[in-house]
Amino acid sequence: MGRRASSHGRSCGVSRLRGTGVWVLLAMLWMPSWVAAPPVAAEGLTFELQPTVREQLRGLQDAWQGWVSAFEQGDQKAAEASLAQLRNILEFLGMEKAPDFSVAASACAVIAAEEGDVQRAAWALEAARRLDPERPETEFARATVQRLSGNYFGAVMSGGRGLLKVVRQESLRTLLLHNLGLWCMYLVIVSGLIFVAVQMVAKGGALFYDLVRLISPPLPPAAADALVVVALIWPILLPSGWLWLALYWSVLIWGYGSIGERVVFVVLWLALGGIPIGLAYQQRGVQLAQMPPSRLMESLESHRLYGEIFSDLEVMRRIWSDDSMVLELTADLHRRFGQWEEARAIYSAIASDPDLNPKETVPALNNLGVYHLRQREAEVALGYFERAAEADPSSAAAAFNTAEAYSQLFDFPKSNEALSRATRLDREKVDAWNAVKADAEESGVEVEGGLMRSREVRQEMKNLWRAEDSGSLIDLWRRNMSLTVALVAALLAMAFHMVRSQIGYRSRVSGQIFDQKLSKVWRVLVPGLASIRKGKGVQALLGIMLPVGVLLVPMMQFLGFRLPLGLGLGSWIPLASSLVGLISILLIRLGWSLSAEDG
Amino acid sequence: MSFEGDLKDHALVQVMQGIAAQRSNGILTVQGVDDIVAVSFLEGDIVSADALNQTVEDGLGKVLENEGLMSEADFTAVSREHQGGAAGSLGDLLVSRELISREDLLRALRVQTYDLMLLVLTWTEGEHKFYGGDEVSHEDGFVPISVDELLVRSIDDLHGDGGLMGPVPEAEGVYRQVPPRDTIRILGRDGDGTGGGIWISPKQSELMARLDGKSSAEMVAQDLGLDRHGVLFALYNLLRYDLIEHLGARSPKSAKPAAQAPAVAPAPAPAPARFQPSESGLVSAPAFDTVDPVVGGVEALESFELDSPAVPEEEPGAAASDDHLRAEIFTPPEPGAASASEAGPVQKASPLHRFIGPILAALLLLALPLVVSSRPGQLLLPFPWQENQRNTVERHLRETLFHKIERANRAYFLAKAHYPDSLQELVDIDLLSASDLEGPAGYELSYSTNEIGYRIDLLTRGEVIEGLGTTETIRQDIVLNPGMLRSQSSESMPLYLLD
Repeated sequence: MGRRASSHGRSCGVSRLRGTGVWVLLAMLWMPSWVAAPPVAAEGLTFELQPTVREQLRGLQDAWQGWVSAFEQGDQKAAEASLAQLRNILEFLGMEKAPDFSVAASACAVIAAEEGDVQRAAWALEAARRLDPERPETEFARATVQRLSGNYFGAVMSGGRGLLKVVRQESLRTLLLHNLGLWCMYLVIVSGLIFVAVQMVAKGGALFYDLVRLISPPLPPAAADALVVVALIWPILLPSGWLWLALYWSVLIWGYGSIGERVVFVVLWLALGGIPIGLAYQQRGVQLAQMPPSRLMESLESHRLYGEIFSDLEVMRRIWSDDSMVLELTADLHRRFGQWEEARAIYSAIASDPDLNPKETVPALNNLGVYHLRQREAEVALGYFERAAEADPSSAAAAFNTAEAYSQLFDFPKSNEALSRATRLDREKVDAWNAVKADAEESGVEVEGGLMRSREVRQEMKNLWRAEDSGSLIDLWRRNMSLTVALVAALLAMAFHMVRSQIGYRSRVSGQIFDQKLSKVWRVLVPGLASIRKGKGVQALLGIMLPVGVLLVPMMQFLGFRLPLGLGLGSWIPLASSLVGLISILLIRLGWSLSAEDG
Repeated sequence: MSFEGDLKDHALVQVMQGIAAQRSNGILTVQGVDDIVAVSFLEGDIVSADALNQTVEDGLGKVLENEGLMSEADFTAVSREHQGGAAGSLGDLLVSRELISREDLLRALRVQTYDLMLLVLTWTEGEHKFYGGDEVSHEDGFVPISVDELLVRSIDDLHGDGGLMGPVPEAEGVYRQVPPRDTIRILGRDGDGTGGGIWISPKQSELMARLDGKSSAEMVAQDLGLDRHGVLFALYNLLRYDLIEHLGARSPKSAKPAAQAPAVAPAPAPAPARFQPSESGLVSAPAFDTVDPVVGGVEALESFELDSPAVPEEEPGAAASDDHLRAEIFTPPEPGAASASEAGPVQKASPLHRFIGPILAALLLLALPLVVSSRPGQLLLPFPWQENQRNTVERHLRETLFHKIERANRAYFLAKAHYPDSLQELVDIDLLSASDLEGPAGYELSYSTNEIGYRIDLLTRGEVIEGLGTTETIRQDIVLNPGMLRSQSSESMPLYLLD
């Protein structure tokens, strides 16, 4: 396997995408590939595979089928042989991991464990690990196998390791973080609603009493009661009535609260207004993480070969058909597969593109040089390396390859000079390149120019979103409308409070009078109630948020974004964790309650 | 004088009325289930109250914070300094640090004492003991809380939880005696309230005697030197025992003297009615409607005015609307009070206020799981104008679900060489969770498969929702589709035309 280096290129054709409605295009190209009917599939792929590569890919499928057969027959040796074959083919294709096979092996492990064959499950798990050591599914499958064999502690530990692996993978981590954001939003909203409900328990009677007092007389008491009840619940008839109800009550109750409680209400109103803005930001991130180009780039960066690699590349090429970054990425893929002729043609086109900044051509020049170096055309190669070094004097790879070319030409003084320059530029990389013993066919350091530029593409995609965001006045208005609602709620609450202050809060009482009457059971069971009785708003909200947060953890499985895992953690660990958390909270509350009484 | 008893036998209201009637000095300790409170009486009025489980500092801090007089942090800092051995009381320290004025401190202490007394009034189990004594310690300048004031305000603030319920009468009304149902006994003179008969205080007895059906109660109260709360509580008690009846609002004629009284009406007509400071020298409570229920009588130092202006002579009917503005709604009056309420604008009470809060809260809390299970997106984006954004969020949630199913299906295909017949098969072998079988907006998933692919649709009430489904095939998959690699050479097109 040849030595590879990376180079920092700069964005080039990406800027051409501005204003082209890229997201419409993306949606059209991407969505059909896995959400609606598959027109891409009907057209076939345009990434040409040489017979050798096709043969290798077929060999990959055959080796996998061999592994599955061996697994079903319980023939571990045959399975090992198939696994070794799989790994050899991967290496030939310039890849290191096969996530699809890894996940499938994990699934086989779970199936075997379900059938009671723990031993077979164990070697399936080992195969899964060797096919892709970073897949979280392997650990989740291990957790399932351990659970099925009664090792619950081990299962929890494996689940934890799986989660760590989720965090280590960028696309999964991104979704996980967005789920965390979503969890926070749900937490605030649900806790806020419960806060309002508990406020209503504590102060609803006083509010009702005051409202009745306002209208009776002239109305007879029964009519006044009925009218006030209607006045208190009418928002339920609106669309999303439950929220309007909570918002309405919070406005009415605001004046009854202590300063702390009023602050909490204001924070909740602001949260309600701010959530759409947060969600809009989040949607972009999720969309970005889910895009086939993102998946392709992440996989190529970590040398993963997956089933849809070509269809994802196809999507990318259709979006940025004339972009040198995509061309270079395609060339890189050809190069990895050993299809050097195809790669060379594209690199040549990039190297001679007059529109490109010279620095952007450095990886292509370098890889062209490597191509000729391996063809034993050292002089031609030297020309490319020197052009690369001239365009980017800070390129250690160009300097190192120059040294290699001079070495092939037996000009050792110049080779040493170039090597010294490369070492000065990046000693660490040069040491690593030197450590790989390469024969003439693998001499030279390849540069992953396309992949490195892909990061800039992601940044450009984000920039495009921002640009589109700022231009969409309707969206801005819609998003800020919620903030307006929050502001109106605050103003109404204050106005209502001022009006009633003139009339008098007849039922406003200091919270402590309820402590005596509040039964211990309710005080322990209903979070926030005791604090609200004492007028401690922040404490009450935090008291509500804690159990709600714990309760929401397992619910995020259906409330949040699903992680694209072939095999998940399962629901029992989040459920059990949540249950343990809730019981702990209850016991702590009970303990506090008892110690307060003892004190 | 000392006495003791059980709260079950002797309601605290009665005990305190007895102390007030005799204008006793001393300390009343009340031991409830959770706490013990010591109440100091000076001349029958409450001048301090301390709880065993709540220090004065704790309570004062809360009141100061709730009243917006001081931040918790400031109070805690001074409190720590005081605990560290600073000289004088905590209140003095707060004043000396200029964190609070003396007036505000006294005001806060009064609120704190009142709150604590409300708490004690709610106790129904426990014991009480009164220790008579001439010396009662209390904060200098503290405006005493009369038992009448406490009880009248407790009716309002406790909604009957303190043992007293029913409407607070109007002081401006005209009342007259009615034949008593039982023997009237005077607290102090005839006993301590135990035994048969109707027990009232000497002042209430005097007031009752003077209610002639012509003069308003407030005018009679002026002559007797009763303060605002005194007359209100007296009327409340007398009405409760059916000793008097309400004839209606004060007549225009009877309103005149009050409006013209020099001490009462300094402002031009229509002048507000006023109360005189009581003879005892203690501050009279302010007009009930203008009282901040928490701050109470301290505001009386600034104004004794009633918020309801005197009724102009030419608008006799306005008296009724005046009453309406000031009407009180409480828990249902006792049966005996019914006849009195018939005579005036006193309102029938409603028990709803005690349950309405929990009922409404339950309504909201019941809606919550419904929303979460049916359309969780509405929790975050509930407003009508957010529908587009809500749909987008739900689409992303749906896409991630489809993606997850695709991953699981892929693993299954590689393991079994075909797609599963149902998604449940994936759940059975832990490739999916049970929660993955439901769409983000609560939609049901419909799954169908053939040799080379599968389709998922979303269903609502058994009907497929168009445009929300997904189809997956193995056609372009180099891992799943062996045919793709064999046939590609015939299908393939030139990759690039570079030159």
